[in-house]
Amino acid sequence: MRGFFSLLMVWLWTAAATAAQMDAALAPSTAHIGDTLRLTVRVTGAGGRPLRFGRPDDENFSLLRVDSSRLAAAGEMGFTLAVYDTGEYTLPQFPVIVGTAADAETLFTPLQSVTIASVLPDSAQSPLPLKPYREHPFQWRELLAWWWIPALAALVSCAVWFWRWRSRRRLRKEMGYEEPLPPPEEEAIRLLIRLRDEKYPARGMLKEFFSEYSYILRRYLERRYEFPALEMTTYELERRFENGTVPIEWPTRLLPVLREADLVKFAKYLPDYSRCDAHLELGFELIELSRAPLTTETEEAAAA
Amino acid sequence: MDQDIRELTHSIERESELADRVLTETGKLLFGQRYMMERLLIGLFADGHVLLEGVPGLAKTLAVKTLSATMQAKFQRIQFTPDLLPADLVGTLVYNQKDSQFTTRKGPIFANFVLADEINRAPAKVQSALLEAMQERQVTIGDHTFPLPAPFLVLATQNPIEQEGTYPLPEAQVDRFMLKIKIDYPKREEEARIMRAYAKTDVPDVTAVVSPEEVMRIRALVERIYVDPKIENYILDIVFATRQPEEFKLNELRPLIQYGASPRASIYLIKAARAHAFLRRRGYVVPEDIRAIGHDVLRHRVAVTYEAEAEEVSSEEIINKIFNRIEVP
Repeated sequence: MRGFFSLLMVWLWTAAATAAQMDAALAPSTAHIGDTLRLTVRVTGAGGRPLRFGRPDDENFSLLRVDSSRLAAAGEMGFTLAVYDTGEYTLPQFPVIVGTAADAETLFTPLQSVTIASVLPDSAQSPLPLKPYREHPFQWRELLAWWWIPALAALVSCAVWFWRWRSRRRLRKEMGYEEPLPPPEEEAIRLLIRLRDEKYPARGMLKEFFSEYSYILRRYLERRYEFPALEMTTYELERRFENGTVPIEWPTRLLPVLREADLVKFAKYLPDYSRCDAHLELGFELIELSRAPLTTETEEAAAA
Repeated sequence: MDQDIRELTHSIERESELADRVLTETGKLLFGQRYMMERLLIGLFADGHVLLEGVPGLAKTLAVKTLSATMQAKFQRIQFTPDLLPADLVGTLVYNQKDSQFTTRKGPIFANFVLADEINRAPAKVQSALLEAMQERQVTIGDHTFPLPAPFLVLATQNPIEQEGTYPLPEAQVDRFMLKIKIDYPKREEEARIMRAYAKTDVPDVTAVVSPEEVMRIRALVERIYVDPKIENYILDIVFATRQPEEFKLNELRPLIQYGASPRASIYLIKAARAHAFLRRRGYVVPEDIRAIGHDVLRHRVAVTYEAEAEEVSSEEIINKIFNRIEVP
């Protein structure tokens, strides 16, 4: 008999030990509208049997998310719920099936209550500020985060400007428009000054000096007296000077320099370095000598 | 001046006395044809063949005959006619019955100076034979190749009128002439001198004053004449302007030029400019030399289109426009 009771006790203890237990918790117990509720359902003593959870299904609650990350380790299932109205609510029970079809055991979650309060305080009629007012002084440094906006605007402006400039230039080219040149005297003097600043003779570049020098003076002649001096040889210039349109100083003083320039350019002639300055001065002098007379507006109008 | 160029100029001054002698001798018979005589000497000293074009009676043949008379060199005149055969020019193999062997009989092309008179009257095969000899400076008869004597210079004449029954030289063959000289009528006073001189029966004799060796020496001297890279660029600009005029702001010439000057033009421009500098007693070339001989070198190398012909624009005018647009260095 004692043996029988002992066996019964062992059986009852074993049965009690293997019976699944259910525990559930809903937090918080009091919440405002829009807050989420966390329902945690934990099953213990399942003895490794599979668990199948039902869903909290009620018209007052919305199921937002199901969290099963702790199901395997702790037999725990989490539900995130929301209620959109105020009042006292009781979450209805829902089943949890432990085991397979042969030895399935159905447990029900305990009833859980919650109080949903309005966001309006009872004592005040004004809504609560969602975010409290905070002092936020203006800081230039914060604007630095937006540097790319003016940079992009500048880039786009440059692109538009360049595109328009190119279009106009092409159009001018097609229409045969040329940029107005400065007066021949101004241009020649500017070029002679630049030639002087280059200091070619001091650098031993006599050929470059004489090439540019003869180019400047022949270009001046071409623009000032309107004959193709740049396309003429020294001999042809000599013949051209004979018709007397150019002041007499040009043939008498410039031609020897041009002949010397020809020797430097084409016959490897090395003249005295010191004479280059004198040639430059002669250039300035000849240009001044043949400078076109200034015309007044009345003269221009009369000529027109 | 560079020492080499100075020495070269001194040598040229000495040797150009030979050219003066030739010009003096030819001046006994030719009046007012200095331009033509200088071009012939340029051809002689630059080793380039010359084509003379002019209406009949402008002393083309006389000029060539007189020039060759001033040289102690062999001269041959070949009158090109429609029935001329290549063998009449270069020679042939003749069967000798006595020893039953073929012997070579060299043609009249084996001379220092060959006057191809009225070259456009002979058929294309004869022209080809001559022009091949001009290019290769050798002639093949049978199995043997014979070099032509040095100096070897072909001076051809042609008549721009009377085109009936002529065989105009193809462009590829005209290209082999270094210079194409256009002879014009003499001026009034020059013609008066010609009239007085040739109305008499006793025409002065021309004596040989230069030997072939002297000509070869002058040629060697001419080859040493200095050409600066600036001048070379000027030549290239001119030649390329005949091919791509739009690149030189000569767009108006594009529809007028069928094809531009060949690389031979660049070569001959340099050679002829050197010879021209020699005649001017210089050891270096200046742009004036290029402009002086430019027309003679280029006029037969720039082919004009039908459009240009319709507008009566000649290659001469095209070359003028190019020279007037390309900047002198």
